[in-house]
Amino acid sequence: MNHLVSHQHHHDMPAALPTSGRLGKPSVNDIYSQVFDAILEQRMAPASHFTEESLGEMFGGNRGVIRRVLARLSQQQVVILRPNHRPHIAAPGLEQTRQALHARRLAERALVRLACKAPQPKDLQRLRDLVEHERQCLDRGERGAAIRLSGEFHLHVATMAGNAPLAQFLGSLVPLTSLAMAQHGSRMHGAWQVHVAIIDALQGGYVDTAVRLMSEYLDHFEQKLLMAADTAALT
Amino acid sequence: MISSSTVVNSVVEKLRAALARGQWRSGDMLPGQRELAEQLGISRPSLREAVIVLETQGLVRSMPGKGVLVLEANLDEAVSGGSAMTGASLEDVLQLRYTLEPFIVGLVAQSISSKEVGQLRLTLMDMREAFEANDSDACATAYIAFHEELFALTSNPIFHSVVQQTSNALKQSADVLRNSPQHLAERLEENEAVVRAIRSKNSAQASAEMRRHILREGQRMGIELNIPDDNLGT
Repeated sequence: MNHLVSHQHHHDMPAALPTSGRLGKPSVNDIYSQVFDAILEQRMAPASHFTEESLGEMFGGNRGVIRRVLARLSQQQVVILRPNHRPHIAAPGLEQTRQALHARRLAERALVRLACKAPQPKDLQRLRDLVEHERQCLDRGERGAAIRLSGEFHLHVATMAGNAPLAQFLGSLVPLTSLAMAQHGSRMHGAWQVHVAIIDALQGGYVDTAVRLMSEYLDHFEQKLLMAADTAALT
Repeated sequence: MISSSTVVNSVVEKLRAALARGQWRSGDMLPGQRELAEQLGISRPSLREAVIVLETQGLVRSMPGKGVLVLEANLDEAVSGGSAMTGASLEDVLQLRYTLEPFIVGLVAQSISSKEVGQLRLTLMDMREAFEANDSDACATAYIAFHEELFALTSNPIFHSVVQQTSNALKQSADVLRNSPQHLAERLEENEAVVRAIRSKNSAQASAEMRRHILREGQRMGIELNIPDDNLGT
């Protein structure tokens, strides 16, 4: 199990955004990010066996914290919890992923439109920070963290829309599509550049541009996923 | 019938208190419906609704045919993170519906069987009967049932949580659905137009009718939605 903790130093670096500034006892958010990164980087593979205890040892949280992390991952359909079974990591199929992406397209077109109404400087700054961290992670070859940060970018745009139920719906889709992207090994090439363009459109209040960029981003996402899946099927 | 929200709320609180006391822990199954309803001294329909509320709060998950699984140990976090609908305005809910439902009926129109069309039409007949009997409670119930059936017909688990949330929101705002006879008549006609389009497997028409219905619903509530000028692509 040592390989699971070998990448932990990443989380002292900007890769793990300051979800909580406190030192000492790791919070649910901290451990959630670490566990989700480990899943996205496939240090925790779909077939791997783990328990609340082993996760607690690996990521250093008490059982209550680990249980909440697992509950959140289960709500996001990233981890599957069943009574009397060990938790395991989901493996979304291609069709399930396409449906989730389609649902994302519906939700995100509406959300980015709403987010254009009155973007706050602090939100725009947060988006720029997320993109910067995403870019740094890609430079360092930390693909899993880059995928997670990319997802967080979309979720932050959603919170800016000011429609909590719609944002929550998106929250149920993004982690699943991130997982699919990681598992199908599709490339992240060009993602952060589109994100920068989306921020500029939000800042300038260019609604149509923002909506078009968001759609194009998700179209690309789907194409890359399908290409990666095709390649995987051929090899 | 929709049980009164005060009963449901008190059951939700009882269950939350029991979860907080640690009576059940994450990974446990709740006792069977009959037993639990007896323990809490409430009816089973009220219990079912309370479980739906807890499910939207991320505390439990219904496993069809198995029972109810306890998920979340931390109640404070579940409340802030899981129940976006509690603070949601009618406008938020309508916007959400406008975003998803035209797409959903479009999907349904492509794949629906004649038996399923029959089921939808039965629900509309319930709505019509309730309307003719001037029973606005029953109208609201049939309307929510119609809404839930449409989501169920996609058989896509992606929409599972969202339909629970929206129908909960509809139940909580059922007052808005119990409005004037003229509004009830309009709502019924609009829903009939949706089902006609679904029945003739006209996906685009079904989406357009649903868009029209939700926009009209907004107008009846005095809410203007933020929508694209050109929504042909959605």
